[in-house]
Amino acid sequence: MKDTPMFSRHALCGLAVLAAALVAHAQTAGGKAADSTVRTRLTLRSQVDFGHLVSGNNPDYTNNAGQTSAEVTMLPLNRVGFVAIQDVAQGRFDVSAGIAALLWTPYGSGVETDERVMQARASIPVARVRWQFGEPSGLAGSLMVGTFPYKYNPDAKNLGEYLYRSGTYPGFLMTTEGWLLMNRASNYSHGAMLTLTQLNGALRHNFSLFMETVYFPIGDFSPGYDVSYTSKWFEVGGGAMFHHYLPLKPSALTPKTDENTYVRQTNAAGDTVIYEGPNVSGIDPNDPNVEVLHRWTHKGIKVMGRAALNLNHLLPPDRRNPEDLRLFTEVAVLGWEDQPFYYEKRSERMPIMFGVNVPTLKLLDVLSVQGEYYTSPFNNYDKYNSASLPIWDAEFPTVPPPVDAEGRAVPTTDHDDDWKWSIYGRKTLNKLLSVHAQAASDHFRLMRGPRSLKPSYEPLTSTPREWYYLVRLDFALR
Amino acid sequence: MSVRFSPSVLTGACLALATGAAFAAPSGSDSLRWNDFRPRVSTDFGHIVEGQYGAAKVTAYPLNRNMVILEQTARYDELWEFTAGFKGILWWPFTPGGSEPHQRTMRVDPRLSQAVARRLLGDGGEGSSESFVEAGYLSYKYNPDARNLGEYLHRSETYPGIVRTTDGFHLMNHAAYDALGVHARLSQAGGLVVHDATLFSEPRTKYTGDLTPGYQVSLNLPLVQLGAGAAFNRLISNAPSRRQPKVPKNAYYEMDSAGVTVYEGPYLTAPDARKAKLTAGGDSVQVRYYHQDGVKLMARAAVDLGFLIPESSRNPGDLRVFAEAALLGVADQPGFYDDKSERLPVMVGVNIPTFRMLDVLSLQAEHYGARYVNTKDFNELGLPVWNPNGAKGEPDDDWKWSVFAQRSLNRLIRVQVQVAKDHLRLPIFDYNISESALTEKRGDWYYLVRLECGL
Repeated sequence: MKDTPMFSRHALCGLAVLAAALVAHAQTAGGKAADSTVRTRLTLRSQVDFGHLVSGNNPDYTNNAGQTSAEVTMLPLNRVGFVAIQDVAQGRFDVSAGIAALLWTPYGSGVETDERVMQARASIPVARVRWQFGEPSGLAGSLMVGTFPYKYNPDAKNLGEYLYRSGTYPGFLMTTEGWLLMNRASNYSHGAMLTLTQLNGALRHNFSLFMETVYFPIGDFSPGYDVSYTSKWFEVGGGAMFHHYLPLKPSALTPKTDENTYVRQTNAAGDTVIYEGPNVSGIDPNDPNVEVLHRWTHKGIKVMGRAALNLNHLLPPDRRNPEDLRLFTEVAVLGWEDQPFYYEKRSERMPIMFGVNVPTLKLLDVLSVQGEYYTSPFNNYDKYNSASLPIWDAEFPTVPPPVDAEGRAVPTTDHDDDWKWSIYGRKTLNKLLSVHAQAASDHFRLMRGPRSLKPSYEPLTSTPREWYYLVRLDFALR
Repeated sequence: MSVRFSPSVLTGACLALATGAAFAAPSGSDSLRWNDFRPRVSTDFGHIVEGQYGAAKVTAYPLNRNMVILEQTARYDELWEFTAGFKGILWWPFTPGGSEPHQRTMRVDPRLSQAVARRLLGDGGEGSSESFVEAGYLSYKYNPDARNLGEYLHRSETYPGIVRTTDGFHLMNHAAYDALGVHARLSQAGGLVVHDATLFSEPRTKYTGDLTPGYQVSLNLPLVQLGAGAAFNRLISNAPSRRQPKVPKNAYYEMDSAGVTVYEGPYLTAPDARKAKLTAGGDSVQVRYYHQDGVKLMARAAVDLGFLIPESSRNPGDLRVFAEAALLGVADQPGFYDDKSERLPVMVGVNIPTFRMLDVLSLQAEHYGARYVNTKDFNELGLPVWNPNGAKGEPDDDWKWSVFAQRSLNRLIRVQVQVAKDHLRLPIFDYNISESALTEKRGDWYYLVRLECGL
């Protein structure tokens, strides 16, 4: 791949933002006289989470002082959050600015005091400007720029929402980034989003241009698109995300380290394959009997489809809440293209979520039951998170790895964690107070720190029998 | 120049005097008025297009920040003004390659935007706000023309003469000094002559807490504005000896052998083979140590030629021609600081008229002839010396430039653009700032686009 700076593309991004703002200005200039009133709204919200990891598994326990077994039981899960969001609007422009603080406890039983006592963390939950245009009866929409949460699947209360909050190569899944542990099934996005709606809002197109903010190479842009159609009885949607398709440095997408190299080694005569697989044992790629067959890339395409059947209307009006009796599903392919060894079967990169909102006869606002099947043979993404390589951290019984009859490396695979489940309920008590509860065996990760912040490289709830629960008290002043 | 006894007492006395004077002034009506709550958001997007990080080339490196400011002001008794605000800065540690998550992942730092109490001097009527005493955490700016380069008096160092255009977090439109301390302004003849006296505490470099008194005077005529000032860097220190660390790296050596000088210069520039002999001492070695405290001088001027443009086609500030120069340390010290011209940054600029297409379009250039650029030993150890690594190679490196433009779209939204080769430094994961500017060499530059929204 040619290693030329992609400055021109990114200059275009900057110019696009500028152009959009100028266009917006032109649009509002006409309407200024009609509505120059500035409207403001302050929202203050506090959340108290209480719960336990009832049963879990921590394969990294040997690195943690104080923990002598991989088994984790009755680990307290507590968080306290405070959020202040100020909204300001004038005409078709509105600005949303928020600051949040979170009390959290690092995971990992660190030796030093600060690695095990409660910590406070600041965050910016939202910082964006939006311009709305058009009329709902025809073509309408909005353009958002800044930092904001983005969610396309209203049924994904915990599992699902794959398009933006999962990896591509490797295709790891997230249900929490380790800070906020529930009610967080959205993507924390940094960039721009154009939304267009038609048919009174029934048909919705979302064009996104989000920047990579967490994983290497940071600063790359990934264009995305999703569409949805909503009717009285059903909702369908689909989308694609072109991960790292606007890179700053194309060469950074394909690291040239040994570990990221797929090699074939033959005997001196060259007629027998001795080893074919990832170069995890330091094989010299310049050896005349060694052929570099592939280097894995970060770049890839994710696609997503979803559907929901809304049977809510079958319930008596006085016995139903708006989200009751919805049957829904979402499926994604995390990396359309195959790559050798780690990514050879598309079916192993296809998480499938399904669920139902169980009617509770208005006892709860919503009671969502979800299941997920994801048959990835690997689940450790530390090589991606810590070494910035687009590969799983596969385990091998020995180094050099054992090989099959054709000389191909044979890794240790893990399918005990293919199934996940989640139950989520919410009850609004009054205008100020609501209660949330969640019990799940999902992709639960906790954050270590605070010096070297790092989420667990594998979910702590691996098999369906490992699970946690959380209860949240949510106060909101608007 | 230094104060070597009772600095704490002196400081306390100053604060007590200022506070007492403020309270002794006659008060107006007993009323509290809350002004509008001011939320602001800014999103910065840009890249270092070409740059340097030590010997390594930096290309197309992303520069992104997001900032939220929530600020409240209030007025009490017609004579007191209070401003307090929170700020959250979303930023990324500088890391050119792949690394551990905590070294690269975005972070949010909570900050104060301001926390200031201001006592107006006068009767609280019209014009009272021009003279005041204020104390707290405040953004202090004396040169309105310094959009990026310039504003040397407080935000630059003395020994070594570090010139700053960013603290690494605020990447544009922040040519001000985030000060902790006291500021008094006396305005005479309707603002024709303005005196500013300051007493600021060192907020971030070693040793924090040292106090720097300063004074400025400005003359504001309709067409010409002149200003001058002095800052007595770290004049008041709770531990004066710390300003002159007696360690080899901070030493200047003279070594004789049989009456012949075999080495004379800073320890850091000595050949490795010589260093052990220097530190071994003996009668043939004379040692002197560099000191941090020093006097900075500044002068500035601006000529407002806006009147040459039809009033209907100009914005305030259009066609201003301006300059600022500073001497970063009056006293010479041998080795690193024996030539005043190498401690003399000079900024010149002009606000180009755009016939109201933009609010402002500022072009600036700077010449600074310092021989060295690397401040590793100052950053990490607080030693008042340059690090010889990365000495300037070409005269072109002495020049910096900057273009800044702003356009207000409506009452809520502004777009700002900055393209520059300036003193851009970025913090890494442990908050250590770059040892030298990332756009130091010829051909280096970056750009930033900011969308700023708020009341």
